Amino acid sequence: MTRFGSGPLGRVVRSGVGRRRVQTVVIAIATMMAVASAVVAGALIVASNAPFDHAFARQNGPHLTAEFDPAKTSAREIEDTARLDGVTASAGPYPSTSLRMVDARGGHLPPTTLVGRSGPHAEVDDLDLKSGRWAAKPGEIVLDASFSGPGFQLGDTLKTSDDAADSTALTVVGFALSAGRTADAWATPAQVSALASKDTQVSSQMLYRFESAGTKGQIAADRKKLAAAVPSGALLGTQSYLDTKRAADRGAAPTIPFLIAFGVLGIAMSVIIVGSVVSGAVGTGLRRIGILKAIGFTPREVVSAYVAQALIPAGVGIVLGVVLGNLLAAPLLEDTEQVYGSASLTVAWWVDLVVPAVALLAVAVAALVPALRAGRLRTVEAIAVGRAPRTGRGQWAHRAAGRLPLPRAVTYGLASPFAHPVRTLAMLLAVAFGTVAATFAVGLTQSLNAVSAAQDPESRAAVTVVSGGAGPGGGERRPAEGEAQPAPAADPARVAAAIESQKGTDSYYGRTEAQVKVAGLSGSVQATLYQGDAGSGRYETISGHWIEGPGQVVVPTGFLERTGTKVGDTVRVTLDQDTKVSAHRRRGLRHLR
Amino acid sequence: MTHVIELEGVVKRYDSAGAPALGPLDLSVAQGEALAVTGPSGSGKSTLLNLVAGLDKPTGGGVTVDGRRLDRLGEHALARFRREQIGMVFQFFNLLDDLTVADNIQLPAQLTGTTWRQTAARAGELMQLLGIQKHARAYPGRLSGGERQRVAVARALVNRPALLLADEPTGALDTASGQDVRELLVDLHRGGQTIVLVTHDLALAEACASRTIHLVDGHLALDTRTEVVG
Repeated sequence: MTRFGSGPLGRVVRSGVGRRRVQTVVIAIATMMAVASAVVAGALIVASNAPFDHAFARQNGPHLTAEFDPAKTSAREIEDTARLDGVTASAGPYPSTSLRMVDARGGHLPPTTLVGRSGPHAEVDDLDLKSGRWAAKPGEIVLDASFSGPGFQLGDTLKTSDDAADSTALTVVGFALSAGRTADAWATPAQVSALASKDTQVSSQMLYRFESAGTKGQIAADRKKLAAAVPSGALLGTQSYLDTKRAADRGAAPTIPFLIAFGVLGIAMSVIIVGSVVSGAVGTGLRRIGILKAIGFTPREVVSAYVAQALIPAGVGIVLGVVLGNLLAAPLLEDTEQVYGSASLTVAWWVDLVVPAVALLAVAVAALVPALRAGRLRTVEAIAVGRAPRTGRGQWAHRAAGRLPLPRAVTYGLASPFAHPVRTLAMLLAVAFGTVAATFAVGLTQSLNAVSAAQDPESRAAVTVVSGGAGPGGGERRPAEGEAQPAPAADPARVAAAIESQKGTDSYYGRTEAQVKVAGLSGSVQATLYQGDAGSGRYETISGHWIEGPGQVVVPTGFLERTGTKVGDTVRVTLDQDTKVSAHRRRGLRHLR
Repeated sequence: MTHVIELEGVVKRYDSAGAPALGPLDLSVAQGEALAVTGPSGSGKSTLLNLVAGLDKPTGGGVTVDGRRLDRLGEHALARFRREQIGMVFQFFNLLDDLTVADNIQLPAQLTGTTWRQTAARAGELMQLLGIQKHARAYPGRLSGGERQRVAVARALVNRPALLLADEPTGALDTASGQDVRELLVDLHRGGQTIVLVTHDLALAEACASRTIHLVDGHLALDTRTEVVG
């Protein structure tokens, strides 16, 4: 006997779907919305799940980025390091240099590592060209994707220095992304080599992947092999992917819990909504089930018919939901990409498979439970239940409610949910999850705003003045879009005097970025130095307190790990450019930087 | 004489502590007989019908219909038995509102594996016979009560069942429609169809049935044989 298609079962299913339009449309819409939100939620969860690791793996990122001094070792020797024991893949050598570029408005960029590569693709560090094209000739530059925005666009021109006579103009032709952060900008090898001068040293960059690179110790051992393979002093420095990963993960940390919670909540709500709607739809069809059994449908055929009747509109809803979910996820993933700098703009393929499969299963289970009950129901009961509610259930509630000093209609309504406990529970869960979702959605926005505000103390200031010229560490802010051109080299004392002379100035503080050396740490550390009422520019502290005066420093958690210190210890900090030595007593721990 | 229905010591209890809703009851119905079951509300009429239809199982005793012990069959076998051997007509028609008249009638035949062409031909034949041909593509909701009951009868007869069971078939109909259905049942009986008719309507019983049993509190109070007057 034909079960579906033109057979009796197919006819019953089709007629049930076609004639019960409201029910069919409700199931389709509920499933569509559930699947769409689950696809979005799933995509966000995937995007928030170890974004660095995924991007790094996709690009075959380097475990170690090494800079060699070409004056102390030959290109052949550098290339030979690719064949060292334990090296599984490599790329380079690429000419590399560090520049302080100047934009068209005269603003200085932070120190930028410029690497010469003939193309974005390589065995190691296979770059994603996000927009534009690769630099094809000298005079062209590809910037890291993090620069992309109103301040820097394709076609903009950068200069390699302030000195007009010695400056080279570079036109931005593309934006690319390196998960391993091997460079801030790329140009042709010839261009980078051409920039070499007395003030601009060009080194050779090599990128390596190793057999063993899971821990700091393994990376250190790999580095040691490299250092031993070239003449002493030829290895200028290395950058471990573990440090890059820690920095990337720290940037994504505030949003990941929110995204995961939102995704889990969305999926749970989807299952409950679909379950409630489908159960309700099957539950209202009991009389029809009784009729089908009376004319000879077996219990199994009844169950099949009702599950199929729910699955057809649900199937349509699922297909539409996947399409809608992908459309809705695209802009959110774009935002996520900007947060992580490494996520994919598309929904993971398996999300588009798993979500519909789970939704179909959820609908099938949701339909199966009441359908099985209907299949087991004695035919006489099924017909009777279809005609009038079953008596007996919830009578105690009716009796109890009847004693309340309320109109009978009200007490009847109050007691009714107890006659259908499962249906009531499903409704309660749906309402509860809906409330949680609404609360969460509002809370998420507020929390992210709070996190954002906490990370940007300057946003609390009524007026922010950006002064030009080099600060103590050589770093200075680039003016924002629309801001006035920076004045050359401002005198901090005169700036302070000017601010104090302004009527209505409540308090002020000055801050600048500088590279400092910390005793016990190799390399320099980026520091923010304050002048004036530093309390106004405070970050949230997770331990200790904010800076209250000279001799105090607030640091991130990673600093404590690297230096093996704790709050209250003393560290020696030296400003890179000056010889001034200060003893800072750390009183607090800066949050999320 | 061949018996289509044989009930031996049948008892049906809905409440183990209370009195049985039916029985103990012994009853035989011969092939071609039209049996009317009458009695007041709660006398066990519908219970008897449900047991004979295999819609319910007895608490005790045996129910044999067309040579099959229904009380020993599982749900699956009972469903197959019903679709092949039993035709049922309900007081409130119990048609599937989302199927057309023709589809309602054809559905039980399709369940038995009959081809679409054969079921369509049989349905057409019945609709012609019952005067509902013009409503073939209509949905039951658009028909009058009498027309709906005719559709229900056609559906019940589509598989040429050994037994036609009718539960208050005129109970929800106006006088004219009730008369139509009454005549239809008489015609069927004259054609040799074995019928069990549950009704409050003594006039209907008298008109359609060759035998009437009267139940009181689940027991057989009266068993009379009459001539069908039509």
